[in-house]
Amino acid sequence: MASRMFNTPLTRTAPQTLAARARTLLPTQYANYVTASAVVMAGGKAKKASAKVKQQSNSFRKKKVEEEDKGEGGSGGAARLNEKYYKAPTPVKVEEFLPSTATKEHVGQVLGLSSGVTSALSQIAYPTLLSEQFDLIKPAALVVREKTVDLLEKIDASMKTPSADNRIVLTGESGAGKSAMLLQTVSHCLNAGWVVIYIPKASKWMNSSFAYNKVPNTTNFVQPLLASTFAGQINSANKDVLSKIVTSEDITVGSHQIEKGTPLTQLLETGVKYQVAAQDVIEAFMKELNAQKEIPTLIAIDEVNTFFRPTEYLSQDAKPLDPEQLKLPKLFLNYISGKNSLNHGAVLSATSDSLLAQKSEVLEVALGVKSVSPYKSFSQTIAPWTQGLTRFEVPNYTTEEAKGIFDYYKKANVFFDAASESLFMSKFITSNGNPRKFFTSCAKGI
Amino acid sequence: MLHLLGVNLPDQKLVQYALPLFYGIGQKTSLKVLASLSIHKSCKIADLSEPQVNQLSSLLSDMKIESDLRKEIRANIMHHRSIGSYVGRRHAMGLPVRGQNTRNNAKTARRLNGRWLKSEKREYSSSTRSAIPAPDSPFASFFNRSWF
Repeated sequence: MASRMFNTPLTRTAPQTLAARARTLLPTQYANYVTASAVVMAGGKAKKASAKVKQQSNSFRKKKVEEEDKGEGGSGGAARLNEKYYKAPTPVKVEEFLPSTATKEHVGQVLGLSSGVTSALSQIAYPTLLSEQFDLIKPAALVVREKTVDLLEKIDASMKTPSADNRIVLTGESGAGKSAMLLQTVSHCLNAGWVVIYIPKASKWMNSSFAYNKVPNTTNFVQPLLASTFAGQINSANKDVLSKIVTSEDITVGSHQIEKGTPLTQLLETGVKYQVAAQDVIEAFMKELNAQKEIPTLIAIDEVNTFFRPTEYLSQDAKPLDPEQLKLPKLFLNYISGKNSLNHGAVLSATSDSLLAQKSEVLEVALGVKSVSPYKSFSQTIAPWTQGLTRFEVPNYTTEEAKGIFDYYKKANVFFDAASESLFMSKFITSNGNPRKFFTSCAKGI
Repeated sequence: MLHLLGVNLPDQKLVQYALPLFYGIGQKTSLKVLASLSIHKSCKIADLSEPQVNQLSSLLSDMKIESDLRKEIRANIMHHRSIGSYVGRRHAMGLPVRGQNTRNNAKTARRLNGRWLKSEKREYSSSTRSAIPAPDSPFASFFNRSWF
């Protein structure tokens, strides 16, 4: 009896096997068992949730987020995307695109926009689709093409000639690189010390997104806020150059007096400060640029087809306004058409196919891009502005240029396959060398 | 929220799409109003300046909208009723007015016609609804019969 007493255990519980003890200690998770696929799905949902948030906040980024969803992995703005799932874009080391590097030897090299240029263009947005690419692959870089070198030679030759003799329009199929070539010219001229007036989205001037007021006793309208922001953009792009040019006479803009000898930066700042006077400030500014003969001017306009078709604004009779009835577009229409001319400089424009509804048939016929029946009548108010424009065709990539950009995409982790000759040829042929299609074929693996 | 002539216009709405909230202004008249006041199409109600709001309200008060328009429509239909025309009778019965077939498909007319007269009656009749049908109602001859 005593032995039985000593043999009974102190605890009341029955002796358990190891497995049974383990089961009691660990909580039963059978219902909440997480599979590997569930983790991936959760990651996908997080991606989609973050993507949805981005879509709601900024609609033009939708395309880019969808591209990244397709599984590139390596590229993308890491500041916006979940770092758990997206690596930051590896900035590629590129040399700078300078006037010295715009030669035939450098054709096929991808050169980055110099820091001076990017800071000058900080207040001016890049063209829409180009800016999406620059957000994707850092730093902003463009390939030097044969046609770029030809164009830059033409622009350099125009340095001492009036702008009415140098009115070039870049044409080409959609995605051929017109805006990119315009941007390269802008960068080249900024580095060379020209005064550059760059308008990346002329459609915004005409699509009724800025307030407009009628000028009393005329049929013209003025856009004060647009003129004011534009003056600020010119000022920020050319600060150093403009601080050296001074006004040649006393100027009265509205109720403000600008004395003779003030630097043009101050003139433009008056326009930024006082919206009402901004239009007169810009007109006076263009006159002052003409008054001096040392520094040439480049007027670079993208989406120029919106200058040659009715705008979205309405007159007081509810009829669409022509661009010549808006004072700021008319000012530049005079320079594009040669009615006004700068002493030294060029007017370079590029058409845009990304806005299909904004194509200008008048311009295309005048440039010889499109041929229509000779019996077709065109608007007599718009057709006269298209005389005397020189057409500069922007073709698709040559093999050399495409190879250069292909190596650049590989370094920037746009795609992860081994960069072989056969892969390059398949992408080049399927996209027919079209730069935009080549990029999507590299990025999306199509 | 801009309160104009009895209608609340939300601040974040484009002026082009806020003006049709007025009874009597549709898409076309809205664009005409914007054009005459030189307001750009992407202007929101919150972006309108004080003088622009005053111009807008003076222009709208000159137009026939809201209660003025409703009175005119009601008056036109009451006129038909008072002269005892076919059009008036059809409005009162809530049936198609313009000679449509009623064998099938008169649903919209049955639902919508006659609402101008009902509201007219409600305004001028006494507060309690009379159980006896009014003498000029369509069923007067049925309910007021002394024989069955």
